[in-house]
Amino acid sequence: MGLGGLYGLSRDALLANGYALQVTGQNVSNVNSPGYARRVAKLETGNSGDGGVIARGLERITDRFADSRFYNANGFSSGSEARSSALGGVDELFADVSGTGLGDSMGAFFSSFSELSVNPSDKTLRSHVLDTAATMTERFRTTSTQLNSIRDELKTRAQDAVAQINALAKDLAVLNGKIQTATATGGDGADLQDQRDRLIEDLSGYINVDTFTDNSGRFVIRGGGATLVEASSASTLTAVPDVAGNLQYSLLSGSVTMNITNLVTGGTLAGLRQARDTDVKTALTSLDQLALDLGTAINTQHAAGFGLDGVTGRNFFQLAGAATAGTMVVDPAMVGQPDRVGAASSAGTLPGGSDNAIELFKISDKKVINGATRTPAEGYGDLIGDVGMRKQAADREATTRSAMTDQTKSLRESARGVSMDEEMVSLSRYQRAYEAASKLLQTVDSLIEGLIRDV
Amino acid sequence: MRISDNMTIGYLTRSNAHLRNELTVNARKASSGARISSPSDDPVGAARLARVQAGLDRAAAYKSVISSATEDAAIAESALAGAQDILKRAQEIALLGSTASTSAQSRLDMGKEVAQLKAQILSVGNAKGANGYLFGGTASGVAPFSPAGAFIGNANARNLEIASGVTVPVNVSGSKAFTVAGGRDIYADLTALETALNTNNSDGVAATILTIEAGHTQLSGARSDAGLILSRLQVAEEGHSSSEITLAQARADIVDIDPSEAYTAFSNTQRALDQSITVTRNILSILASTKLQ
Repeated sequence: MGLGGLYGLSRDALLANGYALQVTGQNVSNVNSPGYARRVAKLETGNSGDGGVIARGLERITDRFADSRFYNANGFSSGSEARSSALGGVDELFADVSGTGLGDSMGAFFSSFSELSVNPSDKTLRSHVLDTAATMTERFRTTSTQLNSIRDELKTRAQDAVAQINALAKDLAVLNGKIQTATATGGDGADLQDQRDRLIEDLSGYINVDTFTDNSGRFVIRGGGATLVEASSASTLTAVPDVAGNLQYSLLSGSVTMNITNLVTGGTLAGLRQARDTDVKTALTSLDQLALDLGTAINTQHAAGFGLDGVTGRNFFQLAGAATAGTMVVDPAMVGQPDRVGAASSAGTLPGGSDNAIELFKISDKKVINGATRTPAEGYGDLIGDVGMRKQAADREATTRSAMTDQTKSLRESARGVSMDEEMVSLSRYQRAYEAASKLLQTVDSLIEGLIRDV
Repeated sequence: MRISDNMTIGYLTRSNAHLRNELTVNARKASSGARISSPSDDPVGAARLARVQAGLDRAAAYKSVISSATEDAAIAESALAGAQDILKRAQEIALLGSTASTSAQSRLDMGKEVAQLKAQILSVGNAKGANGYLFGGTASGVAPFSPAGAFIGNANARNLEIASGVTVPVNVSGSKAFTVAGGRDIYADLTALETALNTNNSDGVAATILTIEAGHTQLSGARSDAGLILSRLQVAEEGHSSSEITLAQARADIVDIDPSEAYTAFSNTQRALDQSITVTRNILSILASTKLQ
């Protein structure tokens, strides 16, 4: 190779190192860009035989295994966080320490029978019994209404999440198409791939996600175990209550609808469903059972008593249907009728007989709840204990899952994240190489100039 | 392991956020003095708290009814003591009226006093407490003795549950205290004395001395009943007061936090957060200087 060949050599070196500097600049610029995967310029010895260097494009540094683990962990973390957050409202609902809860109203209701037993003919004490009963039933109804409101809110949040998933799926399908076009025309599509990774990361927060490239080279994104995006085609997810009122997730792909409820194991969707259809529903069922058992026990005992008017056999509460807590009221025939409170156990002891009021008070310490296995206080304690344990378990899981997500995020970042230390070194390295190539050009030019002058 | 800038910043952010969250929790506990503010703080404790609170409610309810019943029993006991005094005076009159030296006019005057004593006995029999007539049984809405001294109440006991499974009568039976159901009809005996005095019948007056004495004894028995009721109520009240102390202590054990422990936890977390912020500042400074060089 003559001196003239060195011109080509230094030109290639200037171009290649200039490109490498550009790539390094991209890394430095995007150090804080979400979803950005660092890039490395692919410099190789050229194939022209002169030993020169050429830049064969760039390489996005990613680790598919780390990505997959991160998406998985992020899904579980978001799911447990959503559940924990949803149960926060339920937990607060049963915060009885401040003395405003259902437990206190039950205590006041029973105490009113004890007070009545001292002077059963006292109209004020009789009215007090009805007042405390109204307060207790109102508390039952309010608690039930609030639990149902939480369930409604969780349904809305799940439907919002589904709308987000569908929007992300559409964007991902469009991006898949663009990436396919870019790579087919010789581009690297790196920026588009970064965008896609960022969207998949967002998607993994809503639903459990896994990705792969099929045999035909099409990029497939599965959500909830079913194909959500295939190349540039996206399916549609829906969230509607089933016949039992539980959330049902279905995926509409073409004309086929698939129920994927049980396959949604991660992401906000899974957490919201567990909170709504397991945790809150269990609390509601327990509350209904407590109201039903307590109301039934009081009704049975009250029906054995006699009001001041000598009438017996009256119910105290009106209990209707399965959703007892939500509909429980003082029997309309008793409202505003304190004389009808059955404090006496026989007509012969009226008006001062108090034996039935005593029996009604005794129910506070009788096992009449949950198949006659728990007292009212124990039944209520079981309910708030269960609520607390579910919230505590959700909090613990959220903390653990969050730590796992941080770990997998670190693992992922370790591969793809930009290190300014490295980039500073690369910057200096390519800068020196560029300067050396310049010097080579200058030297060759100087040699040839001298040669021309001497000749 | 390769460490990117985002990994470093992410770790610092998470660490600070975690400590800040812990600081908030510890600050809440230290400022409120409560270890449990919602069931999830201690589910087992919250469930126990519901049971302990129910126990406290029951103890308070028992104490309330015992207090009310004690008031009535004390009034009844005092009223019966007054009735005994009345009979004692009647007995004195009977002794005086039975002597041969007493003139007819004196007996007439004594008869007038006995008429007043009868009215007083009637007033005692119709005494009211905080919860209605004391001696009418469960017929608490009307005066148990008619103006003619006839008993129109009933002999039913007014029961109260004063402890779990312990139901006791808390009224003194008016029929046993004042009527023939207890042995003597006190009002009738006084009427007999009054009649004998008004008719100047010294033998008739003398005959009432023993019956009035028997009535006095009858009232003593009724007073004993009232005393027994008071004693029972007092024992039960002491038991509930003791239970209340035990349950209140149990409640405090569940809910309250040791102030020094809470403040120490708060201080430790605050110190850890301060250190973490200092470390964050230093690391960010190192990262910034790397970029500037």
